[in-house]
Amino acid sequence: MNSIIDLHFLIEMFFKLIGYIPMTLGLAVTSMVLASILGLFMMIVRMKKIPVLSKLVDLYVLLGRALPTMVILYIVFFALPIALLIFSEKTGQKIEINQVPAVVFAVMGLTIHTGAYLTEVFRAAVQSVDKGQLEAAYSIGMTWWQGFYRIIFRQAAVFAMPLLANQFLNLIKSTSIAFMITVMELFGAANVICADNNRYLEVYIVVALIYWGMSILFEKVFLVAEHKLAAFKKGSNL
Amino acid sequence: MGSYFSVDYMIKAFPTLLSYIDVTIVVTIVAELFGILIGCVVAFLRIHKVKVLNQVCILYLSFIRGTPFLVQLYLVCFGLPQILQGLGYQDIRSIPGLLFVFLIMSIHTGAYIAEIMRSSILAVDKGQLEAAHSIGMSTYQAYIRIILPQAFQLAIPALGNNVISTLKGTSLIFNVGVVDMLRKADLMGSYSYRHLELYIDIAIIYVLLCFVIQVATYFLERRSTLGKELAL
Repeated sequence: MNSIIDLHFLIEMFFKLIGYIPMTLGLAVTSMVLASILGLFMMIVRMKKIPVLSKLVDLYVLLGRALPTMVILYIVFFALPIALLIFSEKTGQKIEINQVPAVVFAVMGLTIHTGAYLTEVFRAAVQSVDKGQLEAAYSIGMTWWQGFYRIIFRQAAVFAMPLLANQFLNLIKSTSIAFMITVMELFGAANVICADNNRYLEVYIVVALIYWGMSILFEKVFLVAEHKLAAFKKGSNL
Repeated sequence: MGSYFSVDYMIKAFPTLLSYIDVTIVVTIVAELFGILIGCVVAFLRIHKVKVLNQVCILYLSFIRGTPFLVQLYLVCFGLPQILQGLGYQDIRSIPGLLFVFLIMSIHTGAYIAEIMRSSILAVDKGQLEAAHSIGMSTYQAYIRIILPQAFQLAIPALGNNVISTLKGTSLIFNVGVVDMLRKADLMGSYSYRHLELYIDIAIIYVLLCFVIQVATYFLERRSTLGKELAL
């Protein structure tokens, strides 16, 4: 070990690890889309104050936000096989747990985690829209769904955009934890390479730089999107 | 279902796991204390736009906020020894791993607290600093005696959230060889093959800790605003 940092190795690793970016982004985007659907659903349950369900949603939001992602991932990783075992025992259908790839667990864990945050984001967004808007929608004969979808949802979306962007950036970073349950994403691949070459510093520097680059890139993209959306904001002159 | 999930085992394992809570709490407290220190300094440098250091701080904040904590943790815990070795320091094994954890947790928390403190300091009326100057205080005195106490008061809710996220961050330190609740659960699980029960125990502990912090923040916040109302 002559020099502290081996530059050749560093560059070689960079091109090797770049190939794992789609995996990381895929994890993030899939979880984000699923979590948005989950969050939206939870938010509607909460808004409509459906008796028992809305209490359950409260509990879910509390747990989802209080638990570390690591713990959620582990619980999903160990609970799901047991649930499947019980299911196949009850129904007699055979489902091989070994056939379920680890990515599925990762996506589920990240979705549960992000969904809790998004429920709160959506709630804040909907509350930012004037209550009179829904009443006005009722007064011209719209149903709740029509009023919600056509009037409230669109205005709330503008409000929620920056918060969603923030959550997505957090999610990209959270995907690094998925390597703990054997998913081969950027960080998981980096650890394998480390073990092969017994050089840590270069690999982790490269990984950090790639994550940093992704974060900055998405931050810029979301900033542009926000500016575009700002035209629809209340009180804007455009 | 009894064979799949044993409530007895869950209850039996709870005290054992709970006895490892001290690692989590100590790491959180150390990270928060040093984080607040770093955060205040960085916030000061950024508000007063100190040459060069301001740019360094911006880079530091961007890096910490743009990369996952796990990567930073590995970078420091596995990368730093390699640097030390390259510099000729061979006695790496004698450095306790917890030291590296303290280091990176403080640096990580510091970046987030810097932003909190910056907005809190900016929220304190500008005239306060001028008034302090006018009665002959130096900037340093004004910050310690006038600005920071008020800024901390404003920052309490945000700092409470930060403590919670630091606490959640500690769930990752077992990856680098620190024996905390999660590592213990891992070890116990490999004997009993009952991982799920153990991790649910840990989930309960984390929720309880979050709850305690939440309540503490609430009371601190109420106390500080109570003082304000009386003063006015």
